[in-house]
Parts: sequence; C-alpha cells; structure tokens
Amino acid sequence: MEETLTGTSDVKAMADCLQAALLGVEQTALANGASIEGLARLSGGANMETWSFDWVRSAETEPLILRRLPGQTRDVENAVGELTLKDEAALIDIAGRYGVPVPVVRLVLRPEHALGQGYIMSRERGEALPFRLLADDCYRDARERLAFQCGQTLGRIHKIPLESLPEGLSDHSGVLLFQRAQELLDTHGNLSPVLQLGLNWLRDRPRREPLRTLVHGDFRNGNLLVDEDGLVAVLDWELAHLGDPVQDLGYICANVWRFGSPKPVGGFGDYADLLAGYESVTGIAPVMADIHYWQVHAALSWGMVCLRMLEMYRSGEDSSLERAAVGRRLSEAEIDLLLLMEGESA
Amino acid sequence: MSGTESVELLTAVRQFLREEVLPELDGFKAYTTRVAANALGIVARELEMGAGLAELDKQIASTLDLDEQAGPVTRQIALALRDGTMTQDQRVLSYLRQRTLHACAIDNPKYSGLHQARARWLR
Repeated sequence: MEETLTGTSDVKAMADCLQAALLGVEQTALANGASIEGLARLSGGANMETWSFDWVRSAETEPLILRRLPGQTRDVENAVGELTLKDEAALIDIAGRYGVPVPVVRLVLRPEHALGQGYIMSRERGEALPFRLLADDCYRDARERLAFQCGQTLGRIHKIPLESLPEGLSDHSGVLLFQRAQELLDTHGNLSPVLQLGLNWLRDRPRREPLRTLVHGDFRNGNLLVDEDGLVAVLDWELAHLGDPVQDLGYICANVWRFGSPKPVGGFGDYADLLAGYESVTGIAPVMADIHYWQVHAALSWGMVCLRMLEMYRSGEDSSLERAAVGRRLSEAEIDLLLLMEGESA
Repeated sequence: MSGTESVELLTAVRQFLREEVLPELDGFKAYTTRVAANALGIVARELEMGAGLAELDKQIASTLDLDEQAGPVTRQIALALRDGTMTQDQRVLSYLRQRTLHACAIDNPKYSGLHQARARWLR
C-alpha cells in the first residue's frame, strides 16, 4: 500500500526534518554523509500517517517507520479513548522489555523536530497482509506455529505488571466496558437493534472474577508481522487498554478476522494451540465458554468500529472512500453476532 | 424510464474500474479502486434488493404495532431493547435474522458468515 506524495518538495522538507531529528541523537553520523532514502507513505488514513524510509549512513542502512499526527506538537486527547502516540511508544518499549516481539522505538518526536506528534521505530521484516499469510506456500510452517505463538505472546502481554504501564491507558474493566459501548450506540443514533442485542447479551452474562490486565485490544491477523518461521512483531497498539485478558483471546478468533478461512484462530490456527501457548506462559487455561463470550464482544466491537468510521466520514474528519465504504460492513458484524448468540443456546 | 437503467450504468462503471483502470495501478490507489468498485456493487444490489428491507420493516411494524411515522423501525426496536421495554421474543429475533441476511446480501454477498447464517436459518 505505497503512496508517494505528489508534492516532492513536501517529502524533501520532511526528509530534512527526519534527518535533523535522527542526527540530534547521533551527532557523529553527521560527518558520514547520512541521508533519508525511499520516504513513502504507507497508509491512507486522513489523520494518522505511517511512513516508511531508510536511514542511510556510510556503512549502514537502517529500515525505519514513522507514525505521526502531522501539525500536532502536544499530546492529543483522542476522541475514542485511544492512546496518545507518546503513550503508544512508551507501551511498545515496555512490551519489548517483557519479551513481547515488537519493533524497537528509535525516537519519540519532540516539538523542535517539527514533524508533529509521533515516533520513529524499526521497520521489521515480514508480512502482515492477511491474504498473503493465509495463502502463500512460503508461510506454511509459520501458519502451523502461529496460533501457539500468539497464545504465548498474549500471555506475555497480559503478564506485564500494571505498575510498569503508561498512565494514559483507559480502563474497560467490569461495567465500564458496557457503559462505553452503550454510549457509543447512543451517539450513533441507535440504528442497529442487533448491536443492542449483542450488548444486552454481554451485560446479562458478567464474567466471574475476571483478571484486570493490559489488553492489546486489536491483536488479530492483519496486525501481526510474520515471516517464514512465524511471529516477528506485534503491531498497532493504539487500542490498548486495561480489562479482562481473555478479551484478546476471543478477539483473534473473531470470524471477521479469519478472512473467509475455516480455521478459527485468525484463519490460520486452532483453538487448542492458541490456548496451549497461552497456558505455557501464564499457567492459565481459559475455557471455551469464555472465548465464546469474547467472540461476541469482538463482533460487537467490529460493528462499533464500522459506526465510528462512518461517523468520521460524515463529520468530514476523514472523507476518504475507505471510511465511507467500511460503514457498510456493519451487516457482517450483525450476522456474526446473531450466529454467536444463537451458538450458546443451541 | 427510458434508456440505460441505473444498474446497467453502475455495472458498466464497475467493469471499467476493474478491467481498465485497476491494471494500471498499484499500491494504495489499486486498493482504493477495488474499494470503489465494490461500493458501486453495493449500490447496484441495493437498487435491486433494497425494497425487500423496507418490506421486512413494514411487516414487523405491523406485527409489533409500531408507528412507522415515529422514525426508523430499527431505531424504535433498538431503543426498546435498550430500555428493556421489549424483550427478545421469537418474532423480533426472526425479523432481525431475515433483515440481517438481506442487508448482508446487499453489502457483502461473499461474506463467510452470510453462508453460515443461510445454512442455519433458511432450512
């Protein structure tokens, strides 16, 4: 998904800013004729930007990624309770220290860098496109290992002590989860009885004595960087929050993130491998009834994301075609919710 | 109406995007062009099948004695479910299944969940 901006002078100016930002932490590179090469935008969102580039010095080429909100120099309070980019960078750094495979945060942007709010991290090798991961022969071995590795990795994420986490994480534990969801449905005009039914279903079945840990919140096929041997890095931490850890396990088993494959875990694996990997790290083996509960939640979440994206389009906050089109995927979430709620009673 | 039908126009534009434009593009623009072609497909299917949704809404409004002038039936039912003034009875559930099947057949007829739901609910 590469898109080079048409205004080459903008890219040049941006490359100069990046060079100055990176040189600031590495004065010695100045003498070695360092440069920014191959600067290209990766994603099409109107606000959050992701850029790929190489930081080239005499003997070394460092592949890097920039994630930023341009024009913002202060922390921006995000409307949907997402992390600020500064907290996101801090969280990735902490996760890495607790053995979670993540990119290395190279530099957190400061106002004097004139690049907006954001951070620079290592660009890891590997593939994140679901259809390639599920279809290409070169990922056959990776697909066999991936569910177990996902279980292990989620276990490590959930074991990070709460006191080492950034303060900006929002709390979705207990009834807060339902309150947030109801507020969102109300904000969007209560046009889906099925989403309301899903929320009622969840609220009527509170979990008994759930744990409260870091939850990645978007741990799914598409946000995992994978090579021929398996998981390389966990990406997209902006929905991280505090809550019931089993949420992440149900989420990666949601039908919408299987991309049409019959395999329940991300379209590539089986429940038993995911749960075995999780137990090998945490000593905890969630039961299928809990996974099912959080699959219902994952379907509701996807429906709410569709509503939110539609709202972004309608408000003019992000007028891209992609935002308008995703609003029509609401009926996928509704189908999944109706099937899942039936599954329990059947 | 005389001349080219709306669905024919949409189909022609969609085919143009897919067969003439898409091969010339790569990366993000190719992706967005695919999204655009899909969006035209949704509109074409809605023109052909959208009346079915309105018919289902009309039926449930009559069954539950809802006033169709008081806003979308879906909204009235969602609010009643939220406030607990309506419980999830078999008539409501059956309506929601039929409506969601119909909506998903317009929005994304290839969705895997749609095939599962058809197999279960249309026996």
